[in-house]
Amino acid sequence: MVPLIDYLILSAVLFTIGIIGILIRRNIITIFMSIEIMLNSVNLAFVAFSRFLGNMDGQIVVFFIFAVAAAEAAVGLALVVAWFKLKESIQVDDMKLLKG
Amino acid sequence: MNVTVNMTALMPLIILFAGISLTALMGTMKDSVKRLAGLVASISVVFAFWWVMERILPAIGTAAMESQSGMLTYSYYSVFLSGIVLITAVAAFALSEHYLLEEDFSHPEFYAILLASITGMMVMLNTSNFVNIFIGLELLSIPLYASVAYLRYKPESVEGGLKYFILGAIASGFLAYGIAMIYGASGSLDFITIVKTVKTDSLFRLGLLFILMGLAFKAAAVPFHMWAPDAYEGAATPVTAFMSIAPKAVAIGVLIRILYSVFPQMVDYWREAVLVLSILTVIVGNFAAIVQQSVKRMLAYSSISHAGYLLMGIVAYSVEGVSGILFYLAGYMLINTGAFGVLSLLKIGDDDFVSYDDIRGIGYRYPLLGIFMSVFMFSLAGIPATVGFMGKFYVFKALIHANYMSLALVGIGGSLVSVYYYLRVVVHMYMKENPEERKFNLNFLSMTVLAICSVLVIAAGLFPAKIADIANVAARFMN
Amino acid sequence: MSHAQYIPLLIFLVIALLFPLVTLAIAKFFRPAKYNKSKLSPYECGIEVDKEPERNFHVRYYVVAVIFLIFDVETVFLYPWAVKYRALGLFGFVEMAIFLIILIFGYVYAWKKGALEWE
Repeated sequence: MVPLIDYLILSAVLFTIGIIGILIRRNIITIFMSIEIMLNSVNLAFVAFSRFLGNMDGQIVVFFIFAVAAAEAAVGLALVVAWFKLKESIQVDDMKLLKG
Repeated sequence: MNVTVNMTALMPLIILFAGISLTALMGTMKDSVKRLAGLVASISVVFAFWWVMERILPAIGTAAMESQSGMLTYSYYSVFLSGIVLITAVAAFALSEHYLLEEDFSHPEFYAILLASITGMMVMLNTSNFVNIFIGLELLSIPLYASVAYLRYKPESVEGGLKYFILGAIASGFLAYGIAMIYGASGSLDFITIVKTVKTDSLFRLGLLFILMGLAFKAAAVPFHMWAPDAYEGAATPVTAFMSIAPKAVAIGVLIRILYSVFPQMVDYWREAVLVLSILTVIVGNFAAIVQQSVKRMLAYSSISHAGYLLMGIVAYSVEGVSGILFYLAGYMLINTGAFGVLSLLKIGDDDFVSYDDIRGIGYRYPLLGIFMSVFMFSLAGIPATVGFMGKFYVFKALIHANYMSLALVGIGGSLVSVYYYLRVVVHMYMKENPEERKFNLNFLSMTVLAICSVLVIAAGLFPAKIADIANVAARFMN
Repeated sequence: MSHAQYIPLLIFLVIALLFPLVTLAIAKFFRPAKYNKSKLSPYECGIEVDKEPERNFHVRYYVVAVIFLIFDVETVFLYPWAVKYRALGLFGFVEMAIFLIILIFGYVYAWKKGALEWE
C-alpha cells in the first residue's frame, strides 16, 4: 500500500501550486483554476487521512468541499462576467480603481 | 437508523432559510410585491432573534445546548454573538432600504443574498464541529462576495467583489487545509473529541497555524488585510456597515472558541502568533487610516485597527479578556452601524459623497447628522463617556491583569494616533466651508437607526454595567 | 519506503506518451499530401462558410454553464444516499426530499428569471 506520507506530500505540493498560481497568475480564469487545485489538495488530504484512520468523517467532508467549490466557482464566474461586461478584460492588472 | 431531530435548535436556521426563499421568490414577482422584500427579510431576522432569545436561551444552562451530536451547539457565548449578528443585520436592512432606492437598483435578491450570509454566520457560531465551521464560513463568504459586487454597473463595486473573492478563496483554502491537518492528527472533527487528543506535535501545530491564518483573513488582520479596504470601499455603504461588523464578530468569536476551548494545551504556541498579528494590525490599520482621502476608506482601515484591539484581547487568555472583547464587539456594532449609516445618507442618485472634501460643512447644513457623526467619531476614538472608551478600557484592563503591560501600551498608543483622523472628520464637518451646496435626502428610517445607535452609544458609555454583566456571563460559558 | 510498486504506472505512462507519437509518425509517412480548396475549408463537408467564427462566446453560455455547474455537482450527494438507501430508511428519504426541494427551488427561480430563455 502507498504510505500516508506520499499522499500528504502530493497534497502539500498541490496546495502550494494553487497558492503560487493565485499569487503570480494575472488571468482571473487561471486564478480560479488555482483555487480549485487548492481545494482539491485539501480533498486528497482528507481522503488519505480518512483511509488511514479508518474513519469515514473525512470522506464526507470531501463531498461538502466539492459542493462548496462548485458554489464558489459559480459566484466567481458571475463576478468575472460582470467585470468583463464593464471592462472587456479578465486580467487582474486592470483592477486598479481602488488604491491607497 | 434512529436519528432524532431537535427542531428547537434547527428553527432559527429554518426561519432564515424561509426568509431567503421568500425574498428570492419575490424577485420574480411584480414591483408592488418586490418593495416588501426588505420588510420580509427584517421580519425573518427578528423572528429568528426572538426564537434564539425566547426558546433557545432558556434551554441553555451552564452547559451548552447540543443537538445533532454537536453539529448545532448553543452556548451563552454563541448566543451573544448571534445576537450581535442578527441586530446588525436588521440595522443594515433598514439602512439599505433608502440607499438602494436612491441608487434606483433595489432588488429583493439583495436581501436574499444577505440573509444567506447571516445563515452562514449562525451556522458557524453555533456549532462544535469543524465541518460546520467550514460550511458556515463558506455560506457566510460566498454571498458576501456577491453582495459586495451587487452594484454591478459600478466598476469599483465589481472590482472590490472580485478582490474579496480571490483573497477570500485563499482564506477558505487555508482553513480547509488546517481542518484536514487537525483531522489527521486527532481522527475527529468534533471539538470535544479533539480536545482530548491535542498534543503539541507538528501536525497539530501546522493545522492550528493554517486555521489561524484562514480566520485572520476573515477578520482582516494584518498581514491578511489586503482585500478589506477595497471591498469596503467598493461595496454599497449599508453592505460595508454589515460586513465591517458581522463577519468580523464571527471570525473573532470562532477564533476565540477554537483557541480557548479546543487548543488550550497549545496556548504558548498560538499566543505568540496572535500577539504579533495584533500588534501589526493595530499599527498598520491606524497609520494607513491617517493618509486616506475618503472617509469611507478611512473607516475601512479603522475597522482593521479595531480588529487589532480585539486580537489583543485574545492574547490575554482570560475570562476577563473574552468578556472585554464581547463588550467591545457589542459597542463596535452600534458605532460602526452609525458611522457607515451617516455615510449611506450622503448620496444623490448614483453618487456617494464620502470624501473629506465632500463632508465639509455638513455639521451646519444638517445639524442632526453632524451631531450623530460626531458622537460616532468620538466613540471610535475612545473618548470617555462613550461605549468605545469602555470597550477599550475593558480589553486593556484584561491585558494588564494578564501581565501584558507593553501590549496594552501599544494599544493605547494606537488609540491616541486614531484620535487624529477621527477628529479630522469632525473638523471637516464643522470648521470648513463647502463651496458646493448639495441637497441630501435624510430618510426617516435611516435617521431613526442613527438616532437609536447614537443614544445607545452614549447610554452604554455612561452605564456599561448591564452589558458588561451579560458579556461576562457569555464569556464564562463558552462550551 | 519502496516505490517499486509504481513501476507499472511508469511503463503505462511511457506507452501512453509513445502511442500517439508513433501513430502520427506512421500516418505522416504513408498518407498522400494532396490539398485543394474544398479540402482545406472548415468542416470539410460541403457546407459553404459564410462568415468568420465569433471570437467570444455569448454571455448566455456562462449563465447556462453556471446553472449546469450547480445542479451537476450538487447531485453528488445523491450517490451516497442511493447506495445506503435501505440503511437510512425514512429519515434519509425525508432529508433527501428536503435537499431536492431546495435545489428545485433554485431551479424554479432561475427559470422564472428567464435564465433558460435563449432569445
